[in-house]
Amino acid sequence: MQEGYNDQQLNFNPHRRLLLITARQKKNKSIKPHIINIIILTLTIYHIKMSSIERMSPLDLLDLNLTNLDPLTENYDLGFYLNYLNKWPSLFSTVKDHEAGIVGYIMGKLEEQHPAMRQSEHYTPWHGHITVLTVAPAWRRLGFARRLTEQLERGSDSNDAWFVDLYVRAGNKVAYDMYKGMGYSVFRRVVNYYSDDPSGMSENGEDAFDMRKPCSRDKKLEHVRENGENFPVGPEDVM
Amino acid sequence: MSSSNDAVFLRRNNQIQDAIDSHNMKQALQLIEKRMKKGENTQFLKAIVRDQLTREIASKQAWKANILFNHADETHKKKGISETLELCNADPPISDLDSLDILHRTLRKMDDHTELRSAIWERAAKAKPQDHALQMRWFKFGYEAGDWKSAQKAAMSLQKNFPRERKYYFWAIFLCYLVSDDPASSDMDRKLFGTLAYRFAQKAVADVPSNPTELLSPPRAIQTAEELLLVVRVLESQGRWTEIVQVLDSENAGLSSRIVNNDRTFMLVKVISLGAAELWEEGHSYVKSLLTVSEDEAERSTLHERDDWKYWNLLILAVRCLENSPELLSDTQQHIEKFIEFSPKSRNAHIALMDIVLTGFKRGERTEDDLVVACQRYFDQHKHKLYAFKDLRGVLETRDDTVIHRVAQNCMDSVEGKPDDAIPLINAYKLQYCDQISGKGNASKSIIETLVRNCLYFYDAFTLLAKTKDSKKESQPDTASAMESRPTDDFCIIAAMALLQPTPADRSSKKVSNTALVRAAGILEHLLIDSPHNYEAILMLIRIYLLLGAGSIAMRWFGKLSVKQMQYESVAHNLFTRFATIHPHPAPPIEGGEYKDFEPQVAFIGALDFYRSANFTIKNSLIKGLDDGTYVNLDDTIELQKRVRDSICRRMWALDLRRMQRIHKGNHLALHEDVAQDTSPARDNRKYDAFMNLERCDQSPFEHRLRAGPIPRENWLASARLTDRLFSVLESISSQKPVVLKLEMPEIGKLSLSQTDADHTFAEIDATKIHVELFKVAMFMAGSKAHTSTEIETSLGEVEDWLKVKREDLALKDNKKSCLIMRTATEFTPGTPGAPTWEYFHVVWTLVETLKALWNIFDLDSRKAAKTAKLPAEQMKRLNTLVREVFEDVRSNTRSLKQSLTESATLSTLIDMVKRGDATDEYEKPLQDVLEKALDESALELFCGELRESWEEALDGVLAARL
Repeated sequence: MQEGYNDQQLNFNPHRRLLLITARQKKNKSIKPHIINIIILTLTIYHIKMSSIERMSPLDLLDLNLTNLDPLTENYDLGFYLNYLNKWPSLFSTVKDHEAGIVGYIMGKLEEQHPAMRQSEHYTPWHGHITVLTVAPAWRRLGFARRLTEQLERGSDSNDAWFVDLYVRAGNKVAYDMYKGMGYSVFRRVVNYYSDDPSGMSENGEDAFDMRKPCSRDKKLEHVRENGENFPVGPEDVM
Repeated sequence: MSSSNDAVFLRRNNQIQDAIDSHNMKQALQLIEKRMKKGENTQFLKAIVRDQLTREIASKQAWKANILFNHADETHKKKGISETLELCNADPPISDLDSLDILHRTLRKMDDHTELRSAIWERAAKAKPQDHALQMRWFKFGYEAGDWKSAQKAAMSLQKNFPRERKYYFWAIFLCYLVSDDPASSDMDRKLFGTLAYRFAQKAVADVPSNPTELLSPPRAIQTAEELLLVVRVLESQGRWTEIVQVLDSENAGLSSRIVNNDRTFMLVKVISLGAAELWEEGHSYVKSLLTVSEDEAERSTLHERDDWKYWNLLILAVRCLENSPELLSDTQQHIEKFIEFSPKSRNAHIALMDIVLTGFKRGERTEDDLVVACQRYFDQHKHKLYAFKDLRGVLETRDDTVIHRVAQNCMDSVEGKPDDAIPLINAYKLQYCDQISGKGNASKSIIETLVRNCLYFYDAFTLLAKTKDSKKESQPDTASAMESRPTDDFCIIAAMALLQPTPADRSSKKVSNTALVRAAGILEHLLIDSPHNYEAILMLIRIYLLLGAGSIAMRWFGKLSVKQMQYESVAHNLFTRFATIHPHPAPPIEGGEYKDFEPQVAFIGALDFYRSANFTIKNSLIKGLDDGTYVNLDDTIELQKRVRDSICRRMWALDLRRMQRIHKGNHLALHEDVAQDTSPARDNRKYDAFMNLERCDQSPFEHRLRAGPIPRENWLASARLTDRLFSVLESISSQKPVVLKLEMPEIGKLSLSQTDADHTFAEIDATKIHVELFKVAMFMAGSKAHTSTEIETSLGEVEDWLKVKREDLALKDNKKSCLIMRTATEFTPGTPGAPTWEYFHVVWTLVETLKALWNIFDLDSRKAAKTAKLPAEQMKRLNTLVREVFEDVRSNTRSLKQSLTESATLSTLIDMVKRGDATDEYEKPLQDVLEKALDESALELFCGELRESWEEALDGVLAARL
């Protein structure tokens, strides 16, 4: 909510907010009309406190403090985000909270392995991939990760993907359990996928679990397997 | 002709073509001439000669005109302009890409021929309508330069000449929208292109076949969700909300169409449009249907997907706006109750319930008790979630003290005596802060200290509990959870915030006492030992150390945030603002740290590098995105580009980097001058959302009281630019470069330093006034006739008076303290300053910068061979003496402060300050006991020792400065 406005001043009349903003809009042409319109909607509803899942906008990149100050969330190069926003806009969603702003987001893509790999037993067909999923520390354990993931799964499903997959550190039990709870299972163990091992258990890096959840296209469940933890592959097999 | 002859001709022609392709025109012409001499005179050769000669000539002419235009002297330049204009109007028009490129480049530098820039391409495209490359080049030139009108014409040309490529039609819509939405467009263009965009969008919707099985749709029909979103954006920009609803209700492009397929994004668009169109009845009924608990099991399972605040808000807003329907409020309340019955944990539904009761309360249909009960119900259901405090504060936003107190007290009562779960307690204490401390100028010390004590007590208790649980676990805790901050961290943050209240004497300025700052830092350092990644605590600590004048520790903590990329825009300002005048020198290297963690110049350069590369990255993305057809995201990327390019932070970092260079070496480097001197309106994207805020909604956010001076804005930029320009002029005189004499003077007039909402500190206002005078002097020295020598004498007189005032401010009294020290330093015992603060360093470094400017002026004036206008010798001599004296005063003040630090800020004094605060107060004892117990003695010693070292290091930095 904009500073300086409260419902007492406006005598509980949301229309006055509209008038104020419209007057400001007329005075200040530099504010884009569609942004004004969104502000109008935000302001008219003067008690917005809840959360909403929305498409990520490039302007939201200025508003990722709560998620990206967290040490577990990587701050990528601007071009990386913009590439995802251009290519897979429907797979990039945020959780927005009125007061806090963006408190979580998911960033995904649709892809398949190069056709040259088709004969390989490790060939990965057309699928959705979760590149980043993050929720701000104070907003964890509220089901946002699940809702964001479901949004991406729906997007992948409507794009005729076989499954949605993601990579998680084998030692990250919190994340592993969370994805398992959302219906993901380990398809294979990618040995030494990560070059570092934060637990200090290994000098060669850490394994990743390639976890998958089938989409409706995979009626025969051809792209998931049981006990995938015991199915090791090398990093070169998943490139 | 025989086939062998054909092959020979083909081979010979290929030789010519190869030469052309490799841009070896000379060889191509030689080959042609050779064949023509032999009597061969085919149409091919004639055409190629004509074409090549025309191209060669045109290209050479364009090139020549470009060179002439770039010439320094006016005669050649004029000739270049006239030749360029002649080429632009040539008939037949020039249509080869190389020549057009050169002409375009020349025209780009000619400000008053923007229309012609587009016209040359337009004429060429008309001459060669099937030349795709030419029209694409035209489009890209316009699009990349933000010349939407030119790009729109190119897009129209492309869609007309290449109708099979359907994307060009949407490019045309997009560009029409951009022209209509551009504040730089004329009113007529905005209207005209707005109408065009609307008509095209209408056509795109109308052409979508109603039958989803119809595979062949007209090329201009919408086929993807992104194209439909573009249409929505066009309609939104024109306020056609009802039409958006109509489109989304339509059979062919509506929510259930093949294009949308009930995508949630469009459902939200419909909800927003219903509200904006003020279709309250329709809106209420639509969201009510979405939020109805169905009898059908399958339908019920998808209900949680629709539990989105935008739906609930429209429901509540519609009730508020439909005041003439008396039953609506009760009906809606029942509807919400049913939803809660189905999904008792729904946060949105519970908030909606509180909101509906609040609406009834405002209308007189519900009582205060009803509201308090609704809040209590909400708290009972959600007290285990950290968001509960903010939700309740939102509902209680403008209620009177009694309601807030009743709710806060009820919440506290319901959690007291059940200390098995931390989060309900945290929420209750946050509400208590909001109720009893926030906005209460008279919050007693006892209330504050009781809250601090309780929070620290519970923090300790829960931490001990967690450690005991961890030690019982057989397996190793996993990495992720070890890096996570814990909810119980909030206890310590609340405690620190409660301590950081404005001192009674400084309520209006919201200034926090230095003792409170040291104590809060001690508590937060304690927290960060257990929870090293809690960024809310780290950010607060960075600001506290800045205020304490401990710049090196502030930098070290900032390094732990690993700020990079876009965070230079959204986070870096928490440290960087005024850092150039608080700690401009490098701090001692940190083991394992990067240079940017202890060398401020490196940190600022890193930030400026981000902005430079962001500009290229966004440009590339805008071009690539067109092929992907994500128009709405491209529109927002264009806005992002403007915000990053014109960012106020970017300019501040450029100005302050150059300031640090000046403070070190007396002058700045040429780098970043264009950014520093940019006078176009700046955009402010600074965010403060990562700070915890427990203040009431009608109070300033907590973060405000941890600011080192007011937030710099346009006025600050203007005065910093003036100072920067002053040094640049002096540098130009010194290196005998030409100085632009006329530009700067009007800018001085724009500085309105008397504004009440000033973005300057007092020291900055003071310095800028003198820099205005020095700037006049510098321009006079450079040869400007704007001021007479008498006026310059007056200016120098003002500088002299100002230096005398500075001497008084810095004069050490009998107790070895100056007015400056007494005004700015931290007191360990009442009336005895012991350590510096940010204000001391800020005043001193700002002063040193001015002294350096004066020193540069003396240096230039004393050069016998220099051609600068001479300044009055006697006056300069007096000024020279004064500058030396003031600089020596700065050093003696700093030495005195260092001496006080050694004498009074002993380790034990500082430790006592953290534990006991104001030892004379009767309420302190219980808090002291908790602090004694909670804070680890050795960690506390380390913290106090480092603080002292940091002060010493900062004072040494001042002592190392040279004129």
